[in-house]
Amino acid sequence: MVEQRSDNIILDVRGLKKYFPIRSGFFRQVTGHVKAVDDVSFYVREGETLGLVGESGCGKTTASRTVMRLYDPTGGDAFFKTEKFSASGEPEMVNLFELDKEQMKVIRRDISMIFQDPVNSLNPRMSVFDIVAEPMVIHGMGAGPETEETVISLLERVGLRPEHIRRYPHEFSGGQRQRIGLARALSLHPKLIFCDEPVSALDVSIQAQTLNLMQDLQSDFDLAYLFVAHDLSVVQHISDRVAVMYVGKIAEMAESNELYNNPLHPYTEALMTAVPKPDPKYQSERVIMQGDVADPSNPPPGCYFHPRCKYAKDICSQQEPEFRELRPDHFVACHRAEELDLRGV
Amino acid sequence: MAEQNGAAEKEQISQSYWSLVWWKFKKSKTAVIGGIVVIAFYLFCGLLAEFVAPYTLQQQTEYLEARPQPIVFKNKEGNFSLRPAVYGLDEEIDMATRKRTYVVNKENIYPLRLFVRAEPYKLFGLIPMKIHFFGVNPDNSDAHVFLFGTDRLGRDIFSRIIYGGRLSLLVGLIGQALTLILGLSLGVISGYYGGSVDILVQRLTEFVTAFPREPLFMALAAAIPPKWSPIAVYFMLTLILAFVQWGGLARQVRSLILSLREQEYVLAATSFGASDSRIMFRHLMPGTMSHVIVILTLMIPSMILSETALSWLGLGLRPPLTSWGVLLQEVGSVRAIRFAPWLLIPVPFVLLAILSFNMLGDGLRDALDPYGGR
Repeated sequence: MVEQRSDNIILDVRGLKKYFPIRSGFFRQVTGHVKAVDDVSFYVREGETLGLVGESGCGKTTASRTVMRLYDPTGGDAFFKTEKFSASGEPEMVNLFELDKEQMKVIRRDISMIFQDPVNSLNPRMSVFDIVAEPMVIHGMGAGPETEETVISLLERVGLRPEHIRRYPHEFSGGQRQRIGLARALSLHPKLIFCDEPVSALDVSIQAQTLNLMQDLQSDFDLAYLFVAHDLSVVQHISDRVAVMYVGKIAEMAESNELYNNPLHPYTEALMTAVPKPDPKYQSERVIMQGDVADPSNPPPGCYFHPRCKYAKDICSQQEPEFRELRPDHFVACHRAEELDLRGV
Repeated sequence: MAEQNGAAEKEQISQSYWSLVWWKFKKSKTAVIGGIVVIAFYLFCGLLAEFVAPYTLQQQTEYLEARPQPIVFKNKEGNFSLRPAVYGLDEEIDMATRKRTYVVNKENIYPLRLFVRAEPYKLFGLIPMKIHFFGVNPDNSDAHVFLFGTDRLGRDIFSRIIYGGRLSLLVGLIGQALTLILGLSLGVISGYYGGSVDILVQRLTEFVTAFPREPLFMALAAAIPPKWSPIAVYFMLTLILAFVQWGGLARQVRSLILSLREQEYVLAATSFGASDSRIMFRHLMPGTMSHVIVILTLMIPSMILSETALSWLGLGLRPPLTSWGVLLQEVGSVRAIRFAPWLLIPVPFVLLAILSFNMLGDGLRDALDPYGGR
């Protein structure tokens, strides 16, 4: 196991696994597993944003939901820094996967979530007040007239007006709804927010507004974000560090500029060359990948990426590459990372 | 128009889900008519039967199987008058059939009056009153008004229909309340927990719904001990009707919950640590309410019909309890239909009640989805 990192890490996920069983036949017996998240390790520092990127279905969302215990983890550990259970009052790393339901509920004050779909993530039968106050009510902090003041100040903080408090979600635009979701996520003053593609359902102008708001909130409340997205320019804009996922595994994780400029994994390179540039004269030299994304229920042997990798050698199809720290704070899972000279953005 | 907009902006009117529903419901004429008729039924038959009916339930007159008296707008001299009146009836023996019949005697005319003092009763079972909504001059002991005729014991059928509606309509309400409790809670639990709980509940509902309905009714109703008091029989019958009905509701609620529980707002609530019961009752159940209300409204008619059918067969309510089914029991013979066809008058009332419930239910179904098809 890797040494415990000392530098103000708030969430440290090690070897996270989440397999969904495939059932078939008359008796619904388990005939296989979809390895949605397979041995994933990453960490988030206090007050920083870790972007988690990858294609649709690569397990980004599953990873964040499993850490949050919305799904039962198949394996691994997730250490979260909290003082809630320490006798001395000093923050210590607590393994979320070893907590019971009541203890986990305490942790849920410190970690909250923002969801992708601004329509479905707000209950249409509840007013904005009920929605934003709900986390406080759940944790027994939502009684009395001061709740309304708290909700109003949260709404104002995310750029909504106090009179919106009695309205219903269907009266708002997509961007406004996402702001309501943000206000709800902030209501318990969390330290870490899991943002599950928070802007991908919004149009581009609203995306920028929402991202800027999220950055303001981050510095005001000293928040850490785990920012799940598939839009590379969005991730580059908001993230301090970026982790690239491919078929349930993390291919590469590094500081944002480092990753974008000096990718070490061929998959990252292919992604980076796909980022569109706002320059009509720019001649794209895209690395076009061959074939399809590997099937997570039946992944290829060795490196999952090798059937599509133009640098692949024999070892790639035989041995699974180790996820290692090649440079300080730059992790990669590729046998040939040292030899290759890959292009960035 | 501009003024209206300004006012709306000032007040910052917020349309809750239910106000949107009401707004859309109002636009459907048939639904509003159905709703008004249903409310009128419950108001006049359910709450105010004693007041509306000119006679009390068991009040017997000396007119046996008298034909309905038509309402005429004439005064004593035979001239037109705005005040409605009824002609008196004279008893005659038909020598051919040896049967007592009544013929209209145009000499005797009884003007109808509003708010007459007649037989005393207790409104809502509490307030002693004597005033009836309409009637004839109470000081004249010969005067009588039988809008729908009388039965074999000389009881006014109009009054009995009003009273009978109370029990018939109440079967729908009480029965649906029981159906609601059973069907909704089992459906929500089954859909939310899934797995073995779901399998258990689903097999149970299948077991109940797989029974052929009418024979089951009859078997269960026949099993009610004859010594029971009429009230106990009534509640037992309602219980039986509800017991047979809840399966359908439970299944529909379950399938709704199955789709609702995948919504992200449920996931959001879970991520904030909401308890199972909070998710089920605060997030999932309100989402099913619109469907449940429609299902319940559309199921009330079948309950009323079942009660009527069972009572008509003599397996449901028994006299002295009076429901529409009990009233119709009297027309179980050819003789009755031949000589006193007005005993069939409860039928249009049953039809009207069922029809208006269906109209209301259809309107509600359209209105309760206010976001669609606007």
